[in-house]
Amino acid sequence: MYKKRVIKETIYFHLYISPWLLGFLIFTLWPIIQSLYISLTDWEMQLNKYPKFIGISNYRNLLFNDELFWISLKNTIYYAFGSVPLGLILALILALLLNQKLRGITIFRTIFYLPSVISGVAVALLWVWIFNPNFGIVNVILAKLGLPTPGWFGDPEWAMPALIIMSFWGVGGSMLIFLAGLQGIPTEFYEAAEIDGANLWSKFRHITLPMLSPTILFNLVMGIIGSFQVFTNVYIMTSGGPGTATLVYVLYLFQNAFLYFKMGYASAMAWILFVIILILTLLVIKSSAFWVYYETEVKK
Amino acid sequence: MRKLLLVLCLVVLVLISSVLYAAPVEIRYMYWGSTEEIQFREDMIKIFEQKHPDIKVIREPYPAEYDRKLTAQLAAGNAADVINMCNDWWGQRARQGAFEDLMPFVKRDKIDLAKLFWTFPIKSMQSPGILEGLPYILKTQALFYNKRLFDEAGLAYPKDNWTWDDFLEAAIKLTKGEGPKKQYGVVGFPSINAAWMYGGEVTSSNMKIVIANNPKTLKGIQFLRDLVFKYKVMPTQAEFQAMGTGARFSTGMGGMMIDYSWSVAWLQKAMKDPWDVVQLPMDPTTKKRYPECRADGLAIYSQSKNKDAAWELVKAFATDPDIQRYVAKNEGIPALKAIALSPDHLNTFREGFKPYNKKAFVDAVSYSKLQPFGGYYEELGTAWYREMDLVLLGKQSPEEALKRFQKIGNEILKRLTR
Amino acid sequence: MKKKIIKIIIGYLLLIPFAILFLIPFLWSISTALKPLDQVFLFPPKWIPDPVMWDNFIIGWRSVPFGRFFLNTTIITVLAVLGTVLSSSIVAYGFARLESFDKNILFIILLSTMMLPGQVTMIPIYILFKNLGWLNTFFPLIIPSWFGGGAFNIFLFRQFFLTIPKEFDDAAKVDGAGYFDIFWEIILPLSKPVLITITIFSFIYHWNDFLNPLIYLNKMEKFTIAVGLRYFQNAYQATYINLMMAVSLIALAPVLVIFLLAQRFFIKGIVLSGLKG
Repeated sequence: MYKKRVIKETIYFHLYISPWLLGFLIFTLWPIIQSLYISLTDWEMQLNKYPKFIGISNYRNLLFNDELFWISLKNTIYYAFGSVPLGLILALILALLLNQKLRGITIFRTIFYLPSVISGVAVALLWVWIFNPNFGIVNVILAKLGLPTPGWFGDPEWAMPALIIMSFWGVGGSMLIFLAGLQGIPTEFYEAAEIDGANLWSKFRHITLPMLSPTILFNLVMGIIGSFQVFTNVYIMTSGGPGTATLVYVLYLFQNAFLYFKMGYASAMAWILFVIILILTLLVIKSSAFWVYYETEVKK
Repeated sequence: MRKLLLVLCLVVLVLISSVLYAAPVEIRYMYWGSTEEIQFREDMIKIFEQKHPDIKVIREPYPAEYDRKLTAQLAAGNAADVINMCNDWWGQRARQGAFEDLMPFVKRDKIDLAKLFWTFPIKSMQSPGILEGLPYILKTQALFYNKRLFDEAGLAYPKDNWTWDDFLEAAIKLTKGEGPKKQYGVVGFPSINAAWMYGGEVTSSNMKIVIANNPKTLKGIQFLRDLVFKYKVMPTQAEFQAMGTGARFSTGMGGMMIDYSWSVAWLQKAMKDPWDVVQLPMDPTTKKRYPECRADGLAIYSQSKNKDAAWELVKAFATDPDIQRYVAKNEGIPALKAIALSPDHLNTFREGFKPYNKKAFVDAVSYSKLQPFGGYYEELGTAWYREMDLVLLGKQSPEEALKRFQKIGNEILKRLTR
Repeated sequence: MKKKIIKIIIGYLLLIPFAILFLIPFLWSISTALKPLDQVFLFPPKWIPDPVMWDNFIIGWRSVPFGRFFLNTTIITVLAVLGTVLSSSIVAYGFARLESFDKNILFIILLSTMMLPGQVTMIPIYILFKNLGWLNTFFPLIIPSWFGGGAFNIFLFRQFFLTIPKEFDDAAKVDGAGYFDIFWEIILPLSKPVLITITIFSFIYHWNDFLNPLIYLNKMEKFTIAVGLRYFQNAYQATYINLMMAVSLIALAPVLVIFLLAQRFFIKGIVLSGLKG
């Protein structure tokens, strides 16, 4: 009787998760295996119809023979290191500001959050115009303040900073997650600290930050994964230029796959990207043992 | 019984009539274009369909990313029967077996290529032994100039016998002002023209190797660089980012630009100042000039099941006088030499257009060249523009750029032509 | 009391500059969208256009078949969102409420797929759809959503379902309800915030999606807004900035409207699911 129920439930469980399970097999597992194989082949759809096995040549060419591969990797790291930490700090500041009991706070929340939901082509077009070296609002304001006015997307030194600044406009997502984390901190902690005479900074340093550290970890990991895959903005705004200043990894991968149809080469690039993201994520998670405090520990 | 007979009669009638009015052959035709160009193709197809009621053309316009889509379809084996192509594909598709060789059709229908067309467009659609497509429209380059700015500077308008020295001299005189509203002498100069201007080359004529690193090409690229950094008569890359070639020229902020004949249509609409065109300036020593000529044409997919019907469309676009006259009247230089050179084409203009020196574009055809960056060779183009970008940003000398491009380009070509 | 007022004032003083910074891009693009072309390239620029060119919106809209693009995007988005919400909630129900020997390992696999960059599977999936003859159709943009709707969405649903007391299920079981009845009659009605949150999340994702339509759609009559905008950008270069801003704003409008309408639930849903996550 008991056994029968267990079997029945096992069957139902698989029935209910079957959409995902099928999707996983068709759209994830099988493509992963295929992609691994394709990455070991010479397959240029313009030239040869079928993949030809060539071992690890694609990987060797990428790592030792392709200057653009390294440039795109360098650019991506620049973008990630510029946009993720600063973006997280900005998101945290905004979340702290929103975590006040003020009239009309929801209006501010909407204003900060809105830009992050309207990503995509339209926003990219908008920012090209905002960063226009002569007529864009950014340089107009900088000129008013007597500051130098960079050429932004027309200048290899300034194109990447422009992309990074633009990414800050979309910090609303992580801001909201921070806000959720902040609202989950029990107010008793702060009350207790106030009795002990703690000031604003020490409350932040000793209560908010530790309590928020799991959220920071989550946002950090998501931020890294996201920033290594940046594509649409670059594709629309600079196509990788000027020169190779904004040629980011996924853009170069896209060019190889869908412009030059070098499927084997592009697949190898995808696998290298996967390994990089995996290593970075694991490093962050490993390091989190030193800086993330879980609630139970604090309570001790 | 009588009812049955009636039904039978009807069935027979239907059968007979369906045989008599055989369903027209359907052919798919894929082409690129802006909204306006797509309309032109539409009108041309209609002229064709009127004359060939037995052929129905299924339109497949692609407004963007045409090359990419075509490659994907060729790889998938489901491309259209008739494929819009450009001579800057260098016969590569036919060599790969994707396009049908048109020579047998040409011979069968006794089309005298040498008499009907200019040599260049035909030659540029040919790779040894095979004819990849037949052209229906030619697009060439000329020097556009703003008459008002020339008048204000007290300069005579450019002439066909201008050399690059005259060009530079005028550019310097046309440049004035500072900051965002600075007026530049030159606001458009494709880097490929710089490579050619003193007789230089980028690739060998068979597209096997890159030969860009040579003194003539270097001299041209140096000239282009000097326009920006030495004489400061052309905007920097950042300035171009702020306002592109078209915007600068059409708003009267630039004296001259090298551009293609397809820019005429929108300038006619957008530009307030009077303007005109002349042929490109010449190399002062050899007195030669090197404009580009792109020829759009039609090709037949080698896997097509209706090659004869497809050929009818290809032939009509290139040689039907009504279609060619339509091209001449509305869009640009028709491929048929006789119509292109007729006074009817040279001296009449589209409705609402101000007259301009059409002959400059037509004259360019006979001594034109072809950029090696189209379609299949896009990767080579990407590499070229990347290096040129760095030159025009002042981040790299022309020598370095050409050296690097030659190395990278040769690797690409080695792969693409293996 | 006085201290409290000062605190409020400081609060606003800190919030307002940020709000202005976040709003400037919007205001600037609206201003540009309403200018005649010659005023776009004025230096120094003017904020208030004169005359106000409402026509720019109409000209921009008509210059490319945006009506068609909107319709296409709507069809794709609605069907994909439906698939996402239905399939991810059903799967999440399985993970939240049913037991099986392999549940934990499957759940770990599910979570780990979140780490896999889409580029790894992009090419084989493209080839799969190509072989199915689905290039230039909406299927590649819709069908995958019906197979689980994404690991992150399943995760969010599951976390929310776990907060619903199991006693509700048991009570229903006593009344003779099956698994599906429990899911449909009890769990889903109690999960409004997360339902709305994921609906909006996936609406925004599919409405803005650029890479997939770029890869799979060829013909203009199949274009979505995102690809259509790209085409508009190519066709009009950087010259008609005012029209470009106008069409960009039109393209953003539906997302803005839906966001503003739903944001009450939306933010609640995120906060709640965030808390439980």
